[in-house]
Amino acid sequence: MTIDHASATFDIVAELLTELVGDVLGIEITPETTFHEDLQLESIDLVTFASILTEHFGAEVNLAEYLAEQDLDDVIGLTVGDIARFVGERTCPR
Amino acid sequence: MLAAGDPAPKRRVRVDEPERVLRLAANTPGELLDRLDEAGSGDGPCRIGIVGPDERKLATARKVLAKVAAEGRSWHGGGDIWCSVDPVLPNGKIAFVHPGLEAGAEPRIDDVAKHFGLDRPQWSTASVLDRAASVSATGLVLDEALRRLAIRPDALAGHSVGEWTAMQAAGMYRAEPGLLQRYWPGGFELPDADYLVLGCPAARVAELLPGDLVVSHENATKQTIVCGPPDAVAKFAETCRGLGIVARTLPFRSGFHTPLMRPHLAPFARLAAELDLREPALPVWSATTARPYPADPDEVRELYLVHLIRPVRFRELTEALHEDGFRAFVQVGAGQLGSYVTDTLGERRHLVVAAASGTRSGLAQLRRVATALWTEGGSTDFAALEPRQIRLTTGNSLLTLADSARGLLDDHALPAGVPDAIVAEFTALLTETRRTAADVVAAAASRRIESTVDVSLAAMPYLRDHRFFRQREGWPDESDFRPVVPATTLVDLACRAVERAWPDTTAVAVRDAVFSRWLVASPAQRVPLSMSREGDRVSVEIGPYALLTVELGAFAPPPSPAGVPGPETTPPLTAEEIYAQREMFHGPAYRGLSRLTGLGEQHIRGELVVPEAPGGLLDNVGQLLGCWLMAARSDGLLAFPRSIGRLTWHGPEPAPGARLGCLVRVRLPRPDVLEMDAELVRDGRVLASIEGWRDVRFPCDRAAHRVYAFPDRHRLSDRRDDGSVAVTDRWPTVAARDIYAGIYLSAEERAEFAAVPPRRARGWLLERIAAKDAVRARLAEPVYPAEIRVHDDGRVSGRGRTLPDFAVTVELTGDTAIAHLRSTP
Repeated sequence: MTIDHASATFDIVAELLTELVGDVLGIEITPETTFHEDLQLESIDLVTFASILTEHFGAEVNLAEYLAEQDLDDVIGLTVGDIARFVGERTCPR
Repeated sequence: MLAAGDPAPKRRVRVDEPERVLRLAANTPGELLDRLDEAGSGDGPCRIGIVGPDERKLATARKVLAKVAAEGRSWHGGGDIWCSVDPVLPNGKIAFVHPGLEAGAEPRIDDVAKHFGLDRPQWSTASVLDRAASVSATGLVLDEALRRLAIRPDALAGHSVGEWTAMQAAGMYRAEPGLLQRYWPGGFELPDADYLVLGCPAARVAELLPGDLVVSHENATKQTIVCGPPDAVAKFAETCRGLGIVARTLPFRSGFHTPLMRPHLAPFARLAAELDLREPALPVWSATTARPYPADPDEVRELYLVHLIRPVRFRELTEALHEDGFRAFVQVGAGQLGSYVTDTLGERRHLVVAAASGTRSGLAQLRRVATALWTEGGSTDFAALEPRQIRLTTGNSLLTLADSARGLLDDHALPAGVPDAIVAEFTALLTETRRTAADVVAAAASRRIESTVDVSLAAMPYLRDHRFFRQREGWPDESDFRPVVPATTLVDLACRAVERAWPDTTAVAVRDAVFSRWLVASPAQRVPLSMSREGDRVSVEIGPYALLTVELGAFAPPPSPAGVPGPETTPPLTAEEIYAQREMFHGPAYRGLSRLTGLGEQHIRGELVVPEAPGGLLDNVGQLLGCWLMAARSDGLLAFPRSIGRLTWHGPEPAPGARLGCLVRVRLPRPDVLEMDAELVRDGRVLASIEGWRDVRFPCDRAAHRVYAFPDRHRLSDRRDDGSVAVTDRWPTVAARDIYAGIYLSAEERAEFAAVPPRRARGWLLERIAAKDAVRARLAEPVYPAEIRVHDDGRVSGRGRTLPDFAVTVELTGDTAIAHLRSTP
C-alpha cells in the first residue's frame, strides 16, 4: 500500500464517519480517534458504519470479518486508524 | 442560570469540584440564543443544558442550537450539550430500562452510593450468576439514586435479567438471601450454550438460521442474538461474517431465553412458586409479551418461567412502550441497552440517557441524566446532586414546563400504529422462531419424551375421595364436588411415568416440585406429560399444573431417626375425629391418619397406615401438617401444597396397609406460608425424608372452616335481629374467592361468576352468598348452597328440590352484603 493510498483512504473513512456523526461538534478525526469514547458510538452504530463502508468501497471491505480477525470484543478501543488501515489493505490497487 | 456547585475545600490538595450545569430556557429558539449570549433567567419550552460549560462548549452550543432550531430535532449529549425546542416531557412518559448481561458494562457508581448513603454493590463477572447479581444490585442502587433526584418513571422494564431488577425495583418481590443454597444446593447448572450477537434484523437471521440454533433476543432493529451449541455458533458466525454481518460471541455461556433451559427449569419454577409477590408500585413491562405484567400473581409466576425459555423481544417492547406514549428512556446502568432503543425508534422523537457509564464518574453521569431530562421538559432535583452541606434550592419555575408548551405533542402528529407489514414480518418471525425452537428441542433433547395422561374419575376412581367440596348425596354434577388430583399423586404419577419410560431405573428422589394450579378431574381431560432426561435427572412437566425433577439411581442410605424435637401435648382430636368432623376432607382411599401421638409448638407426630390411592402415603404427611395447623392456629386454616424442595426415598414405597411413624417439623416463614420438613419411619428405619415442603394458606377461620366442612349446616353470614343476614368479605384474593365460590356456587353459577368483570367479582360473590344464606337461614332442614339458584331479579328456585316462593333483596355496602328475604305472591 502506498503512502498516498493510505492517506487518501483515511480521508475518505474520516469523511464517511463525519457524515455519520455530524460535524457540529467540530471533532477533528485523527487516526487515534476512538469509536466509543471520542465519537460516542456503540456496537450497533458499528453495524451501520460497516454497511456504509461496504456501500462505498464494495463487498471486499467486510468489517465483520476484520472485527473477528482482530478478536475485538467490542467497539471499545477501536480507532479510526485501525479501520482506515484495514480499508486501505482491502482496496490497495495491485 | 448557573447552578453553582460546591466551592473546592481549601486545605486539601485534591480538588473535587462538581461540574456546573448551565441551564437556559426560553419561549423561542431566538430568545434562547440571546440567553446563551447573555445568561439570564427565563422560562419556556425551548431549553438548552450544558454540563461543565466553557468558552469552547458555549461556541459549540450556538451551533447546536442553530441546528436544533432549523431541524426541530433535539440534540442529546454530544459535546455534553442537550437541547430541545419541542420537548417530549412532561406529555410523554418516562421508562426506566434495566440492562441485562453484556460484555464489559461495569459502571462507576462508588461515588453515587457514597453520596446517597447506599450500600455499594460488589461487581463480579466470575460466573453468570455473579454477573447477574452485580447488574441487578447496581440497577437497584441507581434506581434509588434517580428517585432521590426526583426523577419518577411511569413504568419499568428490563432486558433479560434486567427484567428481574425492574420487578424488584417496583417492589414485586425481594431477592432473598440464601437463594442458591435453597434452590441449587448441588450447584447452579446451566446449558453450555454460546450467544452470538448479530448486527442485522431478526427477519434476516431467520432466513439464515440453521436448525440447531435459535433466536434468544431480538434487541433492536439491527441487532439479534442467537444461541446454541458452541461449535454450531462458531460455524454460523463465520457464515454471517462472510455475508458482511457483524457477529461476535458473548463472553459468557448459558441458554437463558431458549428451550435449552427446559431441563433446568424445576428449581426456577419452585423459586417462582415461592416468591412473596406483591403488587408493583408502578407498571413493569415484560419483554416476553411486550406488555405490562399481569396482575394475577399466578400469571406473574407463569410469565417468570416463560421468560426463561422464550426470546427476549426487546425491539417489540420498545415499539410497544413508544406506542403507549413513552418518550424518555433512562438506562439504569452502563452498557448498550439505550442504543437498542435508539436503533429501534430511529427518527421518532424520544430521549435515551444512561444513568451510569463505564468511563465517567457516577455523579457526573447522573448530572447528565438530570440535564437531559430537564432539557426535554422534565423536572429533576439538581440540588440532590450537590454535596450535602450546601444543598441549593433551585427555583422551581425553571424546572416545570410552561403552559405555552403544553399540547406541543398534539401539534406534531406522531407516526400512527406500527405498519401492517412490520406486524406481518414479526408474526412470520415468531412462527419461524417457534418452529426452530421445536427443532432444537427435538435435536438437542432426543431424550425428551412426550405423552398424555388421562385425568378423569374413570381413570382415577380414587379421586372421588379427594373432592374439595361437599354436595348433597347423589348430586348429579360431579364438577360441583371438584375432584382434584393431589400434589402427592402427581409426584407418584411423575415417578411411575419416568420408571416406565426408562425401564430398570428406580425413582429415588424428587426435587423442586412445584404445583402451579389445581388439576381437576371433572370434566375429564387429557393432560400433556413431558419428560426430558439429563444423566440421572428427569425434568417432568405435567401440563401447566406441575413441574418437578425426578432423580434415578440407588436409594440413599437412611439417616438415623430424629428424636422428639420439643415438649408436646396430646393432640386435641383423635385420628377418627379428624375425619368424622371433616377437619380433613379426605375420603377412604386417602385416609391414612391412624393415631396422632404428640403436638408441639413447632411439630406434630403421628402414625400413618398407607392408604390405597397412589401418592396417598405422602398426602397423609400433608394431612398431618394440616392437623398441626388446625390445632395450633385460629385462622388461615385451609392450606394446600405449593412446592416441595426435596423428597428422598431410602427404600421402596411400602404397599397399602403398612404402618409408619411420621414426624413433621413446622415453620411459618410468612403468614401465608406453612413449611415443613418431615420424616417417615418404618420399623425404626427412616424410609423417606422431606425437606422444604410448602403449603399456601388461605383465609379461613374456625367458623368458615365449619362452612367448608359442612356447608349444608353452616353459614358464612350472621343472622341479624330483623331476620336478615349479613356477610362480610374476608377473602381478598382471587384464589381465596375461588374456594368460597366453590362452596357456594353450582357449575352454572360459576360460569356466570367467571364472566363478571374483575372489579365486580368481589361484590357479586358476596351478594350470592348473602342471598343463599338468607334462604338457608329461613329453612328448617339442612340445604347445600348449590341447591339454591339465585336469579338476577332476586327470585330463588331450588335445584333438585322444591323451595317456597322466596325472593331476596341484597344490599351491598362496602365489604358487607345484607340480604332480606320476602315471600313472593
